[in-house]
Amino acid sequence: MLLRLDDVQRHFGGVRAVDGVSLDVEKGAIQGLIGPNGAGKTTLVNVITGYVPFQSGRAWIESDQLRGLPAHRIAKLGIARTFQNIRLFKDLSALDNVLVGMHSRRRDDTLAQLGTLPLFRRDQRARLNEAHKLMETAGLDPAWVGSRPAGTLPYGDQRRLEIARALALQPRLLILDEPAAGMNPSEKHGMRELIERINKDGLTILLIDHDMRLVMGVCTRVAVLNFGRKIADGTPDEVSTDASVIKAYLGTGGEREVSSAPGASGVDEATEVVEAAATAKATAGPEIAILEVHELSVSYGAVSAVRGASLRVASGEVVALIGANGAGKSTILHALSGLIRPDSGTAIFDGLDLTTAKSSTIVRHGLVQVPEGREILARQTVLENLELATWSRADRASGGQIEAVMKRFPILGERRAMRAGTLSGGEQQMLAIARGLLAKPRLLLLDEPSLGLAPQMVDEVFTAIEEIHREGTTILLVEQNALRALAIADRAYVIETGQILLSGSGDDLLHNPAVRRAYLGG
Amino acid sequence: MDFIIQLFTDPVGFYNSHTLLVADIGINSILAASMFVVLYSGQLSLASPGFMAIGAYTSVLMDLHWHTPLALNVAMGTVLAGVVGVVVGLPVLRLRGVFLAIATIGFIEALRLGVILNLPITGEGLGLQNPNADPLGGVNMVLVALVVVVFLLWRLTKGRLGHAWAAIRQDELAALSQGIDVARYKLLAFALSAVLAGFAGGLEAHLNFFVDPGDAQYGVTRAVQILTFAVLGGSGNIFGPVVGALFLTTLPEILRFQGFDYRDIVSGVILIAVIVFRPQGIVARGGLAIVRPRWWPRAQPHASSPG
Amino acid sequence: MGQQLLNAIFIGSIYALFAVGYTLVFGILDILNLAHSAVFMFGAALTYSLVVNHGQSFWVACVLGVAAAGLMGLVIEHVCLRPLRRRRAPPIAALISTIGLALIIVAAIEQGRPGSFFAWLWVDGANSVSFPAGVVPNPTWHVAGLTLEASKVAIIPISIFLMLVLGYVMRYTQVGRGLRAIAENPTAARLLGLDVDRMISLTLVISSALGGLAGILFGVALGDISPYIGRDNVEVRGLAVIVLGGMGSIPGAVAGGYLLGLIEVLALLVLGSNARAGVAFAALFLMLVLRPQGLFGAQPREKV
Repeated sequence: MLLRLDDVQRHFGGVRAVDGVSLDVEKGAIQGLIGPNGAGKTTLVNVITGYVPFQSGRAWIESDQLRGLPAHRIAKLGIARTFQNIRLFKDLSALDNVLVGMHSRRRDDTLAQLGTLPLFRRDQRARLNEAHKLMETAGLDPAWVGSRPAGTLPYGDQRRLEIARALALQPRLLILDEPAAGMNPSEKHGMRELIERINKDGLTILLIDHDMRLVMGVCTRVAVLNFGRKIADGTPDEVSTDASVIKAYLGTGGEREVSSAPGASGVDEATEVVEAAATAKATAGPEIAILEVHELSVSYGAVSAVRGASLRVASGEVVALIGANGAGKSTILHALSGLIRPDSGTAIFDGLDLTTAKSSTIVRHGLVQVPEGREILARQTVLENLELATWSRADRASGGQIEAVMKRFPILGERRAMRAGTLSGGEQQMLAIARGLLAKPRLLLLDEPSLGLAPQMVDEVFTAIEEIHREGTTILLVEQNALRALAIADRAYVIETGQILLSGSGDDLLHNPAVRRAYLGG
Repeated sequence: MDFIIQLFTDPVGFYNSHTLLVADIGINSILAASMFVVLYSGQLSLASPGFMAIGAYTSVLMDLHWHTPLALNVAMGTVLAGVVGVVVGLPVLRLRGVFLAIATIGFIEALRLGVILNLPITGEGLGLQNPNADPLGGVNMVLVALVVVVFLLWRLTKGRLGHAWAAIRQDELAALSQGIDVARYKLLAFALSAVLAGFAGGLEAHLNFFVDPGDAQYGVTRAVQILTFAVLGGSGNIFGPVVGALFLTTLPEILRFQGFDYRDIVSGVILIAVIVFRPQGIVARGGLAIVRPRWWPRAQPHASSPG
Repeated sequence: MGQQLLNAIFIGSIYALFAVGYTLVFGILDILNLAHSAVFMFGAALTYSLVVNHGQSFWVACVLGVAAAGLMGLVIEHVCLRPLRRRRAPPIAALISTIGLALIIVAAIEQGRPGSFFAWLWVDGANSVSFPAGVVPNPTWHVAGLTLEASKVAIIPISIFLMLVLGYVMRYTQVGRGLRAIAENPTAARLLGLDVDRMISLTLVISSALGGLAGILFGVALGDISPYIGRDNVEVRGLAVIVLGGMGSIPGAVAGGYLLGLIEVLALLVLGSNARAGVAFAALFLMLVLRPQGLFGAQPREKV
């Protein structure tokens, strides 16, 4: 047994985040840990790694006790981790990030610094070599990315870099917290290969993720948490067919994802999509568009995020914009809503120039965004959140509208007096959509509505989206979950590294072989 | 203007005719170094003037009452400042950003108004007479000290300690996950900063015939002045704050107009202009600034690495 | 002793009024506006100057003084804050830019001498002055062995009234809800259609007007107006108040103001006048160490 958890408990106020979890992880295993948002997975990890104190229970890595130790000591004991929201040292170079990771294994060289320079230089060369090797293990090319600030690296590389840094500890156990979040299937395939590779070298891994294909495909055992308790623990097959697990978490969409075969190699897929762009017959798009975007280029801070993007949306359509995280989808939406100014290009919404208008004007004109990550006002109640949504409307006919919206999303009616922050992820997404609807949108922008949601909740959200569309709202939908998005879209665009590569009807793209392989896993 | 020309064409002459100014530059540079250490480790501490005061009063009082040699006096002041640095640094470890800044302001004002102004031995509000001061001779000492301090800090930041500080400044939680004992290193930086400030305080006291407990010496005004050095110069490496100190100390000399002291107005304008337009400071190359600037080498998005 | 207690209440009211402006900006923008104490001084100085150098009546001067202070809030927003927001700078940057503006404001007053560039604003340079006798209506009563001056007594109802109004606005009006939305999540506020820039300007104007008014009340009641009244009286004490009461909390600022006034008077009585300020800042330090969120503030926790 490499890792033993015995009845670990942790509450926050009244919430039992981790409610008596026990787990055994064998040396050399890849242990999966799954469950809905709020099930306690990350809290459990935070407890084990010393960021949050135990309230009850114990844990051991081999013979070393973990309870009561501070985080840096646990790291030195050989437990390395990555974070759900990447925590790289953003301004340090990629190489420096890895070098810092070796800190605990370095001798203190304060005196060496002041005197014996040659000795220091020799050590430094050795360290540099090791850092290079670690980066290569993680699939990064040191010559290509080594000296660039970590914050400017593409998203997928940042995830890999975090792993390289964690490996610098020479750990016995590596905890990966959603390492594949936001990746397209080809990138996920690369991540899976990486995990298998480092595991083959003898590293035990604890993997948290929402992608069932990844988890069930790579893990030797899987544990399932729900409301802080472990509800299942077994092989991937056992767990994916367990009735209580399906009910709590997987929903029906999950099965579909689990059973499809993994896609082809990443390199080929990327090239294929690019080639398909050259040969595919792009749909001309509607004659009368209420949204016209032409050659839009946006830089986000330092990185050029979007280059020369063009798209159109006609009244009554559902248009999808698909691509992996970091491809530039959200950036386009932010530019459309006036949150960030583009470098060049035009965007006209029903006569309004979006590139110069104030965000409040844009909302008043009828372009409403439901942002990525919900962005609700957690400290205010559900009702207050909805009331604020009527702020921008010229007609403050709020009361009846709010009731109507609550009828469509009954869960909001039930929870109207509760603080929005206490709602689950799926409920918050409903609130965010309801809020968007209350602003009487003529065009509704939905940014990653399924992000971070358990498969079952994703079903509910997409059902709601289809309903809204049926009632006549025009929608521009940005999604990583290409399968779902293409299934409901009239037309779609594919964006990759800041550029729009393909466009076509939802059906066309759904059946386009290159798109299928790159984004739908075959 | 001829003032600056002289600096470059006739440094020795400059030194002789502007000795007091050079001394000031030296002291301010050491203070800037003390600021650098805490900023580099991600702590916005404004406590330096308080430690200066400890160094100054200790040193002068020892001279007045025990007639011990200067080196011992300054050393004692420095050590005492370091000890108080640890005592103050420990409880404020978990304070971040603005909260830490406020706590350190509380410390220096409590020290100045509560302790110094009320202890008979310090002369209370009237300050201390320091008859053994040596305004001209002491300058050499200051310059030598400065060179040593800068060298030490330069090497320190290149080593393991410096890397740990840089990591802590970026993200404390991530640093913990890599086995870095964040609390210990932060405390170390805080104490080192206190030591440097105490040292500067002791030296400065030796250069003046009078130790003055006013706000401009050991209060918030002084703290802001030192902060300005670091903001102007940039705190990504040791040379930034030192250059900032050099520039801002000589500035009033350059700006002598009849009777009107535009010094503060210029300082204010510089602060605003720098933090808005070049937050990484004039020396830094877009490295570890207090504020991450917008001017980064523009990177094109690449496809993720294969494999 | 009774007189001292009374003084504690008066000065506590001024601290509270000043701190409310401070905490308002911090609560909504997460920014410590260190130009606030300069605005405090500016309000007093300008009012004095209007009366003494420009022949205005006291009441007119007061109104203009408060208005000018509010305008200064706009200056703070446009010079110190908005450029940084556009560049997505962290809150620490605003701390520094407001320090810069404070330096400029104080220096401008300090350099105001007859014949100087700033003479229209202030001609008394670095001196401390007070309103000429008879300019400010100030009936005095003697009750139960205590001396009650109207100028001091008036501070209490004025302060309390303003604080209540502000509290009401924040809690129950659409504007207040919008401001609270911005405080919590500026992105969400933008996407809801709120004109965030304009609301931030409004926040600064209100905050600075309150600060300027506090300065005027101070100048009138304590008979001390100089370029340094901000620095010496409220710059650091203001921090102590909002820390004690909880940064970002308006009721906290009120409670903290009176609490500080009380602490200072107690220190005065127990330890003598010299320890007064020192005790206040020691209290500040202790509160931060033991309970950083103060009496009413929320404890921010960083999510891993």
